[in-house]
Amino acid sequence: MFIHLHCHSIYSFFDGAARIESLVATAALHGMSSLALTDHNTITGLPEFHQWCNIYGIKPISGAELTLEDGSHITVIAKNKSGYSNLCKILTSAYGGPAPWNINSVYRKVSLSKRKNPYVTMESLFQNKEGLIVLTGCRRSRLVQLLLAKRYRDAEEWMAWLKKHFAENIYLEMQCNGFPGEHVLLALMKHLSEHVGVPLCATGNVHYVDRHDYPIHDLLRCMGVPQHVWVPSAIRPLNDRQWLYSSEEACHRFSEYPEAISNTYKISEMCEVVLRIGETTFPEFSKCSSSHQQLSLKELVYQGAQERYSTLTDKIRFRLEYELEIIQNLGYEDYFLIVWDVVRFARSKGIRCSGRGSAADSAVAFCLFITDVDSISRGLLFERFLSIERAERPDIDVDVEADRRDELMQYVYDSYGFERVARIATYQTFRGRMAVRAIGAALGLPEAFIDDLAKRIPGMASADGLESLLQNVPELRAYSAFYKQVQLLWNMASQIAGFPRHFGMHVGGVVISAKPLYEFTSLQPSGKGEWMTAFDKEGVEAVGLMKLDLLSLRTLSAVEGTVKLSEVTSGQIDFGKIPLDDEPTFEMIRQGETIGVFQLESPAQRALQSRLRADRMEDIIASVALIRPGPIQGNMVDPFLERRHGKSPILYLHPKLEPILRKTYGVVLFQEQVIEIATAIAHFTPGEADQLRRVMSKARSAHEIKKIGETFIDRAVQSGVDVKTAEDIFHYVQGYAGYGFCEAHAAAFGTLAYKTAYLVKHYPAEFFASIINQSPMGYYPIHVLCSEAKRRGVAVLGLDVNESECECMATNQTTVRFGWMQLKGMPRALSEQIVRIRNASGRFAGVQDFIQRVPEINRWMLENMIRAGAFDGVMRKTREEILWKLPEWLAYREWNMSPLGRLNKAMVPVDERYIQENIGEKVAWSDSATHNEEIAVKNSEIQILDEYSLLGNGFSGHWMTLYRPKLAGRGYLFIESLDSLGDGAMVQIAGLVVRPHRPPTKSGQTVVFFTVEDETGIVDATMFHSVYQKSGGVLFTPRGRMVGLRGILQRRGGNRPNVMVSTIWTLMRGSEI
Amino acid sequence: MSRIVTRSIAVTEWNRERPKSFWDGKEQHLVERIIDEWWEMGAWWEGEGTRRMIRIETSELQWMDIECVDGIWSIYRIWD
Repeated sequence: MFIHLHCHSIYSFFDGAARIESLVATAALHGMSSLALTDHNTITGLPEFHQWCNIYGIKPISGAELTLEDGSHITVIAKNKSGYSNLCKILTSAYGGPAPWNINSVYRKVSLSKRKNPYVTMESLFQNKEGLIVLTGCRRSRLVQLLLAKRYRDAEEWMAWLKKHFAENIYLEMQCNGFPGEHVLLALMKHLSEHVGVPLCATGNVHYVDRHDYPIHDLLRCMGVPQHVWVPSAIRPLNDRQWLYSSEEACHRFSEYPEAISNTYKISEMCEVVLRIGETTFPEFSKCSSSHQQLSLKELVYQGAQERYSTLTDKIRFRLEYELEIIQNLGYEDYFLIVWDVVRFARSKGIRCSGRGSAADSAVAFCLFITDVDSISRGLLFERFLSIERAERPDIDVDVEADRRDELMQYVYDSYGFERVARIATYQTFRGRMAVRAIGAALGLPEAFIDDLAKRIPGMASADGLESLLQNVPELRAYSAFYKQVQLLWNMASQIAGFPRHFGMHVGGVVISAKPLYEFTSLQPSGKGEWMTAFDKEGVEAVGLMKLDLLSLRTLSAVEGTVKLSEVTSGQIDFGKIPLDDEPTFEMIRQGETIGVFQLESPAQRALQSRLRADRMEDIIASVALIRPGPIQGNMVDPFLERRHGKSPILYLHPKLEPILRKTYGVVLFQEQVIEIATAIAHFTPGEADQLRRVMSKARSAHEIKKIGETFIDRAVQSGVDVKTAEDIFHYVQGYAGYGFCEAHAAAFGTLAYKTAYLVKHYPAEFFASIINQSPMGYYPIHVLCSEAKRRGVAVLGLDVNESECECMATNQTTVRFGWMQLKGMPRALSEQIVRIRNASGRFAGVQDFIQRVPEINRWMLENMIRAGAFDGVMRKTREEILWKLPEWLAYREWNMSPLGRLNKAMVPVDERYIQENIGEKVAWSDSATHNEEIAVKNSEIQILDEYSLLGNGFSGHWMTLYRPKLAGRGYLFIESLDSLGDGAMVQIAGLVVRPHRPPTKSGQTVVFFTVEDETGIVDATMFHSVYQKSGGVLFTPRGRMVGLRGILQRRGGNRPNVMVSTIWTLMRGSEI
Repeated sequence: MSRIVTRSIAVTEWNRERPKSFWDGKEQHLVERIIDEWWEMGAWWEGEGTRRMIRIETSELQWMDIECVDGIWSIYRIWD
């Protein structure tokens, strides 16, 4: 029997077109008992490979094709666990990792070339040879290169050397893929094999599953170079014979070398399964951490409970005991202790953090101060988080203040050791736009054509759904005329849908291992230099490593910033003690004035708030869960609002639903409710109920939903519910498919949302300064935040060389001053240097003074500062004039700093008048302030453009001021005037388009939501399918940034105007509008 | 030196799926030995498929590369 021992999957980035499931399924179809995965320099695909092999009943063999120092290849297979560990060590060293394994720093300097082009040294290979089987490699191996170059003696020596080191674990790899010179090559190998006593082994060097997949492999190789298909290249595959062929085909190809075939089976029999999928290996907290007095989990929980609750009632004790018992039975005590320890450290250092997600369903987590949601008083289900039946590993996500997350990460490294801690990898996969760009370039299509086409593809479009977009997306309709030309592009793009493109680092995932990590995974450096696992989140979970998500949450940094700024402007805020019933805050939320508020600032949320008319925390929590694809597509928002306001009766499809849905007025909003319904109606076990929730919340296949739906209805009928009601209930719950919040998560986020709303209401200057500092964050860009701050009576001032600090500051309760870090490209060190020099030696008198006193400044940065208006306050000249003078001043500085200049300066007194007249101006700072008004703005268009591009906001004027003269007398209204108009009014406005997006709808029709901003304010707009099809496509093209539109004003029961667009057009300057 | 000719041939005799003798116009060639054999992919994006290439030595000691595309045989190249 022939076994494929050399296979590449899509994880051989740009050199593999075989999806792992297809690879394993095809091997099973061919009746193969084992299969090896040997991707280029990585083991990334192994967890998925093992999972599919388990399903298809095939033994997975783990390996990799390694690149050696000279660029040649060699194939390595792990015979046993020890071999696998050694393979992980070898791969880590290939990426510049330490050898032997002694990482002692989070960040290790790794050369970019080694990160991109890893290679293994022979020394590393020999040092870690135990448990490995080595095959000499493909056509790019050193052996084949020597044989093809007719250097037989060298080839013989190379083989003898390998045999000396690997003894019986080395095989001479033969491939028969229809390449020139192959027959001679194989004959030489046979001769060599007999001569040096190394057995033969046949491999397929598989790069795709079916030969028809060859074009994809060829295109991937072209992308990897990069080059296009018309350019012949030695690194492109010569032919289509590297598919996963059958044993019969192998016997045919290697008919003259039967021992090479039989050896594949022998090798496969020698190899063990090295990765145990599903086994958990949590570190023992007591052994790992010694940073504090050891207490048991139970002691800590009760200690925390005393702080959280004034009195420990029986109900609380019962719940805590119940949870502790489950945690203990599942063996997750250490996991809780580890998370507790991390959070404890954060709090001790004043780092804001809070647990999110289903962990907030746990009272134990609440008492350990991991989460801030009281699950007992909210009646939250612990089973949503953890249950004996499901026995699933707990997953606690902790939001951490973004600016200080690395401190926490460092603590984890310090506590558990560098060899046991690593970040988790992720990989970007090909989506629609990226696939079209990559395939288009590889096919040699014109760059401008690809660029325009890609920009018109919706951002989230999948690469395998492009065909239908041609018909449905109006901005792509122009390409229908080129259907034949783009058909191949479409077809190929769809075939690489979901292929990994490159590695990245997971935003917050970190693994903590009980044993040294090389027993589970190799490590590789991220772009930032931090070491990460070869596996992504799912892979890490599959191999049983403990994962902790320490997620950066910029909102927490903004909160911290606000607290600090308020100390200067208006006294300290105790964020933890913000009253949860502040009427002015609720009034602001009811008005839908929530731009900048965490989770509540999108147009949909603002529209909801003005209709919901929240007056308690529960409303905020519900609204966080309501504006989600699940509830929206399930048509639950309007029924919820009507019932909330008593406009429609609260009906339950079945009496058993009443206790479950009472708090949400009969509407399913929370995942916990889905579990409770399945348990109450269909008598699902908690595990099955959670499976139902998972199928629905992850929007799995229609087939899967149908299958579980049938089970639900059958069980419900068996338990006495009539078929119609059971179907209705399932349909009702099904509407929840898509991503919805669990109640605990909604409660955690809802509380934070309310508190940030409180800050917006009472500390607007400090809060807006802080969120500008954290940008990009939230929903809106900086110019909208500035516009909103202005609407709230906060003056937002631009950069000033004598006023700006590093960060955006609230100078008082009504003024925000932009900081240097808001200037595009400004390095932090330079911004600190500017402030330091100004504080030490006084205000800057002008550009020339600045140049002399800040020698680190370069021309490019200085130009940016001038163009952003940083010197407007100290110069008589316009920005344009200063820019003209700048080269002279810089030349003067350079001359001054040269040895000759220094000598001259020492000998001849500087004639300031000469400098003033001939080189530049010198304006005494005391005079400068009085000359601000003298600054003549000659080219306001360039000025505004510069400010938007460098600072994200126009300080000299709004974009619309450039268009306004042309709009006069044409019936365009200012946006601020819409507030005074009644519902149904036909309006015509013009402005800058902000965040156009097309969320999925229940009907499948496209509805576009966007915001329009002019110099007086913003208004939300909605465009329905027919208008979008007729004229709305322009919004998603570069021409759609400035638009004019006509529509009907509506408030839909709220108090915020919304324009229902009937016509939209591009606003063109200098032509008809 | 070699010349690219791309001329159809009529194979008259086979030896294990490889031409043994063929007519090139009015001239008949006997394949004395197979020197090399490989497969090449054509411009697949233009609809071309795989080409099977065989380098032969004829009884007149002439070296030729003959190719088979979609079952049609031709001389691709003649070596001096």
